[in-house]
Amino acid sequence: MDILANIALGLETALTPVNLMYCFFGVFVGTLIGVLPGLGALAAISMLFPLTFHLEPTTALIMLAGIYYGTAYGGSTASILLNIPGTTSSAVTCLDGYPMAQQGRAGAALAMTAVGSFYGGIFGILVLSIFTPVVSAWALSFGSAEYFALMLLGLVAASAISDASVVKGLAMVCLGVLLATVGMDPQSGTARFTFGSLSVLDGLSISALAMGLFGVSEIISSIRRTESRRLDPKAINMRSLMPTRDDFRRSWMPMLRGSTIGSIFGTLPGTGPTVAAFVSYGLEKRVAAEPERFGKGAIEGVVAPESANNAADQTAFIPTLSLGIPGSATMALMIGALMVHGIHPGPKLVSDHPDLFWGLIMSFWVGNLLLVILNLPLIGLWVRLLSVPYHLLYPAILMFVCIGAYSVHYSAFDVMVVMGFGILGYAMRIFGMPAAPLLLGFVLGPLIEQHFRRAMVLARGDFWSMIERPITGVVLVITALLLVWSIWAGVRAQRRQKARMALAESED
Amino acid sequence: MNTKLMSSAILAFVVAGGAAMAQTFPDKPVTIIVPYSGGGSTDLIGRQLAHELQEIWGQPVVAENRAGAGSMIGTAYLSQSAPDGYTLLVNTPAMATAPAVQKDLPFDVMTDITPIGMVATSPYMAVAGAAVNATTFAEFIDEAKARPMFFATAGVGTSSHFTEELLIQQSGITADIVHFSSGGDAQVNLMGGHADVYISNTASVMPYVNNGQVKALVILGSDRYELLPDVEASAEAGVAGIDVDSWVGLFGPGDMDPALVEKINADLHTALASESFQKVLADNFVLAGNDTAAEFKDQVYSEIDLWKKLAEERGIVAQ
Amino acid sequence: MAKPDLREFCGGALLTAGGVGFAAYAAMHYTIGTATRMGPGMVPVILGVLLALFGLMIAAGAFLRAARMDEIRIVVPLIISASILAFAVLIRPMGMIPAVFACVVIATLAEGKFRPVVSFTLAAVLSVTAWLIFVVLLQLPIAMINWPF
Repeated sequence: MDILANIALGLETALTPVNLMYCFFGVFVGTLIGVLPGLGALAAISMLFPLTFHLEPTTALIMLAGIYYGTAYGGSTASILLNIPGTTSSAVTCLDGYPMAQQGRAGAALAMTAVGSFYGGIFGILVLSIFTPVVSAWALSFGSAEYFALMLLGLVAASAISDASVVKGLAMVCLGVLLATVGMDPQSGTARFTFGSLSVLDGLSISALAMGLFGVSEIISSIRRTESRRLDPKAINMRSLMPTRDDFRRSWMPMLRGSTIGSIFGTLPGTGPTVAAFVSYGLEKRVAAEPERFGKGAIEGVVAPESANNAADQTAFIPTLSLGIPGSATMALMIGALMVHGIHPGPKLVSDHPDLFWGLIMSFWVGNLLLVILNLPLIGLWVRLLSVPYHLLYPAILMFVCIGAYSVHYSAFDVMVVMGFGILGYAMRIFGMPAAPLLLGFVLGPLIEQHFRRAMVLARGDFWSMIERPITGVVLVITALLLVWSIWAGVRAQRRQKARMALAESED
Repeated sequence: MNTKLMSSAILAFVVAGGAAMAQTFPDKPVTIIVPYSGGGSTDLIGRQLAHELQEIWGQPVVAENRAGAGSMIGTAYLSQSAPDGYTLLVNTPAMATAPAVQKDLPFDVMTDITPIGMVATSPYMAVAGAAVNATTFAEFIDEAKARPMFFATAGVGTSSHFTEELLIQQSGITADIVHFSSGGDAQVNLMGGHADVYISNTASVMPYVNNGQVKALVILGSDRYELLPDVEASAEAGVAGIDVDSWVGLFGPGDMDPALVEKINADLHTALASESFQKVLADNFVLAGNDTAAEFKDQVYSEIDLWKKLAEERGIVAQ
Repeated sequence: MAKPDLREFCGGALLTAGGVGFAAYAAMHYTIGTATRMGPGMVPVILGVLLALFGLMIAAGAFLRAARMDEIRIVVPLIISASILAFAVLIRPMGMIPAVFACVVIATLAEGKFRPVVSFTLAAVLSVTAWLIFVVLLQLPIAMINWPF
C-alpha cells in the first residue's frame, strides 16, 4: 500500500538523529515560549528564522513546526495557573482552567490539557496525512461569502460563552467588534479611530488585548488577597495531580468534537486556532447536560478548546504546504524557510518532495509524543509555582507581560496598549462585565465585516445571489436554526425554572 | 553645460569633505531594517544583503524586521534615525505608493529619506485565475470587455492596487477592484475562481505560476522580460503607456553625506555581484540593480509623482 | 423594593456613553454607505448604537435588583498602570535593565507598604532573569542599558 510506503519514508526522515534533535529543540523552546505570557509562536519563530538558513529544508521546517505546535501546549499553562493566557488561542482555557486551579485541581487541569492537546494534535495530523488533497480543493472553493456565513455561525455558536447575563455578553461582543475596527479599513483604506497615529494603523494588537484584559486585571484584583490562594505544600502529591476517572469520562467526547472543529477551522486560511477554541467551547456549553457547571471549573471547558487549537495548528499546514498559501504570519515564515532553499510549496510539493512532506508529518507525531513526555513531569513543577508568595510572583508576571508585549514589534506603544486594556479589564470586573465575549467579538467581528463587504463587492451588491451559493446558503440556514433553537432553549429553561419555583411555593 | 560643471565641482568638494567619514565606515555594527514580517521576498533579499555586506565590511550587519502599516512603521523608524549609515532600510515601491494614499505619515519621503541604490528590479506581471478563459492578452481584453472582471489587490494603496488601476485605465476596460488582505489571499481567490486578475512583481506570482495554480497573463511594459521571454508584454497587444517596474531599494535617513551614500552604493554593487546573491536574485526572478544613487533617487521621485497623479485621476484616496 | 444597584447603573451608563461616542464619531467622519455597499462607517455606527442600547438595558436592570458591594480599588490599578507605563517609557531610551527595575519596584508598592530590601532584591533577580531568557537564550535585539546622554 502506498500510504505505508509514505509512512516508512516519513519515519526514516523524521527519526534521523539530526531531525530528532531539532524536533526536540523546537518543541522544548515552543513550550517555554508558550508559557511566557505575550510571547507567541510568531515571536519565537521570527527569532529562530535566521538559523534555518544553515539547515536542510526538512530539518528547518521540523524545528519551526515544533516551536509552533509546542507553544500551543505551553500556552495553556499560564491560563490555568495564573488566569493569564500564554498565547491568544489559549485565552478560552482561562474560563474553566483557572477555576479548577483555584479549587486545587491545577494538576488535573494541566494533565488533561496535555492529553487533550495530544489528542487534538494527532487528530489534526490524521486529517493532514489522509485528506490533504481533498481538503485543499475544499478550502479553495471558500470565497468571502462562505467565510462570512461560517464566521457568523461561529459567532452565534460561541455567543453563549460567558456566565454573565445575555445582555452583558452581547454588549461586550459589540465592544469587542468596535475595538477591532480601530485601524485601517481594508476595504476602503480609511483609517478608523486612529487619530493620526501610525502605530494603530494595523489595529490594536490582540496579544496586548488578551494580556491586559485577562492578565493585568487579574493581577490588580489579586494583590493583597494572597492568603486565600496559598497552597498547602502537602496537598501537592501525585494524587491531586492526577485527573480522576470522572475527568476522563467527561472529556473524551469534548476532545473529539473539539478536534473536529479545530481541524475544520485550521484548514481555512485566515481563521485559525483562536476562533476554533472559542467555537468549540461554545459548542460544549450548548450540548452539555449541565451548562451551569461551565465557568466554574468544568473539565470539558478545558479539554475542548485545547484539543481544538492543537488540531487547528496541525491542519493549518494543509493550505500552507499544498497551496503555498500562508493562513497566518507564522505560516508565512514557514513558507519563507522553504523558499530560502528554493522550494515553493504548492500542489506538487507532495509528489516533488515526498521526503519533506511525509518526514514533516511523521515529525509531528514524534513531536507531539515528545511534548506529552516533556509536559507531564513539568506539571508538578508548574503547580509548585503557585506556592510562590503572590507578592513576589506578580511583579515577575508583570515584567514578563511588559517584555512580551514589547518584543512583538519592539514598540513601546504596544506596552501602553496593555496598560489601557488592563484598566478596561479591571473596570469591567467592577461592573460585572465578562471579558471573553469581548475577545470573541474582537476576533470574529472584523472577519465577519470584511468578508461580508468583500462578498458584496464580488456579488456586485446583489445580496440574494450571495445566499444562493450552496455552502453559504446551507451554513446561513444552520446559523438561523441554531439561533432559533437557542432562543427556544432559553425560554424553556426559564419556564422550567418558573415551574420549579411555583412547585416549591405550593409545597411550602 | 556650465551648471553641470558647477554641480560636479560642488559634488567633488562635498565628496572630499565627507571622505574621511566614508573611509572609516563602518566601525560598528550596522542594522538593515526590513519593514515587512519575515518570510517574504523582500525579507529574503534584505537578509541576503545583510549577509553579503557583513562579508564586505567586516562588521556585523543585522537584518531587523519592523513590520506594520504597509512598511511605513519601519520607514518612519528609519526617518528618525541618525543619518550616519548605521541604520539602513530595504523597501519596495510602497515607498512611492504610500505617500499617495496615507495622509498621516510622520515624515516626508522627499526630505527625510535618502535613496541609496536599487538592490533588485523586475517588471510587474498580471496573472489570471480559474475563471478566466483567455490564453493571450488580446483575448483577455476581449473577454474583459464582454464580462467585467474582478481585479484582486493585496490591499488599498498597495502597488498591486495602483498597477491594476493603471492597466484598467490604459487598456480601456471596465473592471471592479476587490481588496484582499495580502497577495497570497488575493491569489488563493484567483485559484478558487472568486476573483480574476492579480498584478504583482515576478517574485510574488511566479511560484504560483510555476505550480500551475494561476496563469501568467502579461508583463506590464513595452518589452518582454529577459528572465521570462515566453510571457508577452502589454505593449504587444497595443496597451501602451505603462512603463513602471517593481524594485527593492536600499534607503538611509534624510540628509546623508553624499560621499557615504556613494560608498554604500558601491559596496551594494560589490555585494550584488557575488555568486550567492546572484542565485537568490535568480530564485526570485529579479535582476540586480545597477544604477547610481542619483538615478535611483530620480526613479523613486518620478514614481511618487506618477502614483499621486493616478490616485487623483482614479479616486484612490483614503478619506 | 431594594435600593437600586448604583454600580450596575453606572456600568450601563458608561457603555451607553461609549457606544454613542463610537457611533457619533464614525457618523461624522466616515462614509456610511448602504447595506449592500457598506462604507467604513456602517459597522461602527450600527454597533455603537447597539452598545448604547445594551447599556441602557443594563442601566434599567439596575432598578430591578438589589445592590451588591465589592471593594473597588483605586490605588492598586493606578500603581500597576504606573509600573507598566514606566516600563513603556524607559525601554527605548534607557534599555531593558532600567525599565525592568522601575517596573518591578513600582509594582511592589501595590502591596501597600514599601519594603526597599525586598523590592530591590526582587528587581535585581528579575533583571538577571530577563537578561538570561530574552537576551542570552532568545537573542532578542533589545539593549540592556542605554545611556542617552
